[in-house]
Amino acid sequence: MSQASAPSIDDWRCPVCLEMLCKPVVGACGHVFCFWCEHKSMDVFDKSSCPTCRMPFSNLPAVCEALHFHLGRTYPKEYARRLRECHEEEKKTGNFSPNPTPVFLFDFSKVNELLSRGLQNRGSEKRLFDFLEAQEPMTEPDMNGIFECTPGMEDVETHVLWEPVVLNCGHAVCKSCASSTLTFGPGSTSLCPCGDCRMRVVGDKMPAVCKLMQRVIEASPIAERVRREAALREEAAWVNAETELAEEEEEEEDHDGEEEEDHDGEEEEDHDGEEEGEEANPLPGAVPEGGEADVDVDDLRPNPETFVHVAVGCDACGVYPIKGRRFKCIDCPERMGFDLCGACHGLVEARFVERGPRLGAIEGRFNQQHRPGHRMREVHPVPNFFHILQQRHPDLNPRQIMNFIEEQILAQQEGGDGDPITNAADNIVAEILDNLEPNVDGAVAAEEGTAGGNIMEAGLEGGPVEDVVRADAEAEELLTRQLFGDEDEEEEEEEEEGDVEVEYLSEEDEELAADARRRGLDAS
Amino acid sequence: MSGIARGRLAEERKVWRKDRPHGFVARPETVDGAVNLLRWECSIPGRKDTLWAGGFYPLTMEFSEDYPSKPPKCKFPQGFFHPNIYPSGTVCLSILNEDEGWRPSITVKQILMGIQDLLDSPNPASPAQSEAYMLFTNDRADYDRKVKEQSLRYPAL
Ligand SMILES: [Zn+2]
Ligand SMILES: [Zn+2]
Ligand SMILES: [Zn+2]
Ligand SMILES: [Zn+2]
Ligand SMILES: [Zn+2]
Ligand SMILES: [Zn+2]
Repeated sequence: MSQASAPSIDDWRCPVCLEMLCKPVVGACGHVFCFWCEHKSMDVFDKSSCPTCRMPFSNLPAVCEALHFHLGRTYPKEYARRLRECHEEEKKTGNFSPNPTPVFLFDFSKVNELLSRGLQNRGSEKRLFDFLEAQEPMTEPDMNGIFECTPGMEDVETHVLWEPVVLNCGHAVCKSCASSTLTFGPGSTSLCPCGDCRMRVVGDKMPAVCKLMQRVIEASPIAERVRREAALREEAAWVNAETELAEEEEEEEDHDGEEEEDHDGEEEEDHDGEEEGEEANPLPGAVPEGGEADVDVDDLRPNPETFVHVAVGCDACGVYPIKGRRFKCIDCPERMGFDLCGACHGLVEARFVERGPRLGAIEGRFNQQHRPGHRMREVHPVPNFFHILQQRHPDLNPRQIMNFIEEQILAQQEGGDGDPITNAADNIVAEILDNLEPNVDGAVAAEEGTAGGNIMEAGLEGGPVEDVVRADAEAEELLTRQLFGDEDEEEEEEEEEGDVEVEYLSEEDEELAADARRRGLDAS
Repeated sequence: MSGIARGRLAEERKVWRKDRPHGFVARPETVDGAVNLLRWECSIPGRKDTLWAGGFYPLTMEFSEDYPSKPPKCKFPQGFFHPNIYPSGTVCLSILNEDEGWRPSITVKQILMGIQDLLDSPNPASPAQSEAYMLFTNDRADYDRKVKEQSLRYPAL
């Protein structure tokens, strides 16, 4: 029997930073990245796409403990180095990634020793790194400790994972177990079956199998047994589903909204994802998920159900940015703050009641320790620079607005101190206000010009086919000009000054202007 | 947003040293003895048995602090003759376009190989300069001659 080969150290490189994964997260497409790499590649305004396959996603996953511990056991020295690097970086920024505990999962045999030395405590990172560094690599994966599936079904015992899908909370479940117990897609009320985190299952459909993790399992000495057991479970689930289906057909009633997390109807395999969901009642305070924010630009009043809380994510389900209702903890002291989306807010409250003050605490995506008793306040939509720009420039898509804003943030990051995003926001709003008049007036901006590489380049590039290929550059240029003044020597027939509204140039005007600029440059 | 550009580029550099495709050059520029990781000087060999063979085409890659969320800007010398190269020298290639094919997991090596491939197989659907585009579509003999001429202008260093 051929045994699959385990991933080599090169297979554990993060595709974004090309270094060994550090606190790995697994996307819904099954691809694996460092926690920070995934976070940093997310879009602060809209859906993000996977850095490897570009699959759209909305929720920042939590660290996958199984892979985290596996890396620590398999490559203790290298992994300790990565953790140390990452922690040093975090100390600089003041934002921290979660520390999956208990530490002893790196090595079960050391558990007593570790506990007695207090290593499981937070704030003991350095000791953890030192400890890890001193370990010898473990050559075999810890199949029963780390790669275990807790499917949350009464009649199925905990078992070794097979074809694992990693939920957004970072916990892994066999694909077949997931399809038996969980529903995915809008309106899903399923919670993670791990029995501990109780986080909502999010995403449009069932996550894809994490191939990297499956390779570890397939290469383990007990792979054959695990595979057989998985096949038996799948068969049993299939029979179950058949029976349920028959029963359901008899009952045929009151189907809606009755699902509870502990006995979600056993779904058939091909049920997941595609289905619209059965219109289950959302959790208290839930907002529809995955729905596009229909920003009606004519309506300037922000709609609380669709409002985009730019660059703010939910610390429970990871949705980023939050669209719709948002709640913020006023007692969490961490720099990152602690926020929940409407759907998770109700759930976390319920958890606090259920578990009480000691066990109810939850850890945010950035290691915030949010506890029962903390006070949450709803954050009402206040349009920020993004919304202002969006309203003023309905012709621009979020991407274009975002590119522009990002440039501003970048400029802040290079120069300024304080929070670059806040600074950039202040800046942009200030500039919008400051520059409206000179823009319309024309004269001031014409002298200064806007130092845009794109504009210069666009000016140099002529030719009959350019229009086809320059759409993007032009859009950017248009944006820059609308915001910061036009460098063209154009007749300014607009109002002199005062509180004028932004006037857009018509398209022909735009072309004339571009032409004029080209000629101007050619001549010089 | 930013923060990983330099780390990633340092890794790219290591990976490149270990696994450099034949005939290619890619290294960060050095200014007064200091290495600038955000700007790489590269050279792409024309593929064997094509009109581009024999030429070693100089290319600069400019990375922003947002790399690898955003693709690097790749430029040949100004006026480079090719249907998908802007008059400024900027390469027009879908994998280098953030809104099209760019993915942060695309490596420097893959970009360079992609551009090498583009040299001999231009994409008529995405013209970036009129001269090469017109000749490519209307007068292939003249196009070929110009390509050949250009290859002689960029001999091995
Ligand atoms: Zn990474
Ligand atoms: Zn992916
Ligand atoms: Zn399972
Ligand atoms: Zn979970
Ligand atoms: Zn949430
Ligand atoms: Zn709190």
